[in-house]
Amino acid sequence: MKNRLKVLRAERDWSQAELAGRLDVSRQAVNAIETGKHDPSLPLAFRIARLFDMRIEEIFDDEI
Amino acid sequence: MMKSDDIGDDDTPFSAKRYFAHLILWSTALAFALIAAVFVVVAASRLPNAGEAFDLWAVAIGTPVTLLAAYGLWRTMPDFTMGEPHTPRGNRMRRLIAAIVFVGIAISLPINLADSGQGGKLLWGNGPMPQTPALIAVVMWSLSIPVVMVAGRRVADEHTRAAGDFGMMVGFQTFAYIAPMWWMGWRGGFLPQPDVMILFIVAGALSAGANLWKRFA
Repeated sequence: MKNRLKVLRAERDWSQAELAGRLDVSRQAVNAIETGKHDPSLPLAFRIARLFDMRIEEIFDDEI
Repeated sequence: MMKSDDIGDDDTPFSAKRYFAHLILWSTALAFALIAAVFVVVAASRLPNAGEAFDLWAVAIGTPVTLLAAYGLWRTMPDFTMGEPHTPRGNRMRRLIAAIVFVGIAISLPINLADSGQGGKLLWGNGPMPQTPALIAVVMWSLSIPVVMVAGRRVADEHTRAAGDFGMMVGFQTFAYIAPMWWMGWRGGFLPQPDVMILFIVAGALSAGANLWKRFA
């Protein structure tokens, strides 16, 4: 699944480790989500959406 | 498994190559410092009993050098986080890894002690061993491994857990593929008796490889 996580992270000048810390996941998890190798669970997708103050579908898109 | 300078495709300042080079160099320096410290301690222990001039020199030069090395090692110590954030979950994971190392050493210790003079045949062999160290190892394994498994499951994030699940699936499918064939072959008289430890090691190695591939590839 495509997502805008890397762009959103870059806009805030956060490293993968910083984002991982804010989401309480590993840095590898952030990397895997950003590169589309891991689709986050619904609870994690909601945490990501809340962190960026956006809706899930504004971050994740399965049609891109 | 790690393809580039960084783990995965990112623009973070963390460099896996730099991190592991630091870790390896630091560990090597630590090993040399520990060996030097042993020399100094041995030389110092021989001094009161009319030690040789070499012992005096070893203590006189070795002590400040070892202390300086210890200070340098302390100042350049890696953070052992592999670039992971310092979160409560990450800290619990690191404590768990340390506990796993401790449990491994504790389980092998009684076997290793019983092994003295046999060159590691008991610890690394596949033959009979004395009852006491075997019993201690069985009890320690049976009590500690379930705790480690549950704790590992609870402390892992969903990506690590998914990689673990994938690894377990590959490991068990390997076992389910090989074990019946080997068993039938043995019953048919054209294969040796199935060896549970060979199956365990092969399935475990493939499981670990699949886990790491899922996490880092």
